[in-house]
Amino acid sequence: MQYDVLRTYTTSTRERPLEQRQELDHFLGSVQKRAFRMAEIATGNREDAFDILQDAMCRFVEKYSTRNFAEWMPLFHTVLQNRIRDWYRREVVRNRFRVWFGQSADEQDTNSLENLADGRGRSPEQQLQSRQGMEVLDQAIRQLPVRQQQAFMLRVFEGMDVTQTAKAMSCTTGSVKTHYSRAIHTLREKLDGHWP
Amino acid sequence: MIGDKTEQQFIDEVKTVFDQNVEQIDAETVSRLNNIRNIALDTATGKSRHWILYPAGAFAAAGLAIIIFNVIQHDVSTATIRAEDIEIISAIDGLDFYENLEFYRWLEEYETST
Repeated sequence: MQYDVLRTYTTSTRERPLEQRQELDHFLGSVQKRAFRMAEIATGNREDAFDILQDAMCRFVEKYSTRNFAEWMPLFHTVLQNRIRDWYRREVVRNRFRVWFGQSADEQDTNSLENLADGRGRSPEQQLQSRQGMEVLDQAIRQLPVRQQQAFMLRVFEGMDVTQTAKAMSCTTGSVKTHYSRAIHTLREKLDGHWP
Repeated sequence: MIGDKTEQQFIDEVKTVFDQNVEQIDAETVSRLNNIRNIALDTATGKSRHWILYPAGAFAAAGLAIIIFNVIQHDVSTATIRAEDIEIISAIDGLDFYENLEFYRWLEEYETST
């Protein structure tokens, strides 16, 4: 992974603005695709994922770019996860308005795993064979509580250890272990029969 | 079946699917991501939108100062008028005296000249 290569940077960037821009460019370039996909999985919306990532990058550059490189990855994911949490809070408010304006719960429930599998007339196995296995995984992860999502994606997708994940999630290592364990258990149950 | 796999096998498979998916992100998406990255970097190198805030802030401060100045002026003149009103109302001469003020002034000037 590109991140492993970037770990070799250890010097402070405070006094080297030109080099700092190059290092930031390199760092953000190495994380942008994975971060975008994580935001897209969390929100289920491509445009929202772009907005979240832009906010996260701007915030990270403004606030933390002068920190030591070794801190960049957990700090960037802290910012990203905070932005995703903000998005969820706003989404809760939006959903309340949708209910007030008469949209039924059935209409909102269009993203379930079952609907995805049946909606295109293909079995989950066919989806996986046609490179769309990620969609099944997307839906299963999206149905997890936010904190479980975060713990799972940071630990599995980003390969962070428990301490780094706790820092990124601004919680204790014990909470990370609990969220992660529950996420794995739930995903194994949900994907059973839909996973090769 | 997932039930037949160990937890680590399941995690490895999930990670592989995710990694492959990330590698398959299309060129248009990558282009937008690059654009987003450049915007963020411009923010760091002083090309941010914050420069707009300085003149805007100066105009806002100047406007606020003018409004506060006018309010204070208005309050002072209002207070003066109110003091005059109170003086007239509370005067023992009665309102007739003030209604004929011009006449009394003329009379004073006339008597002084003669």
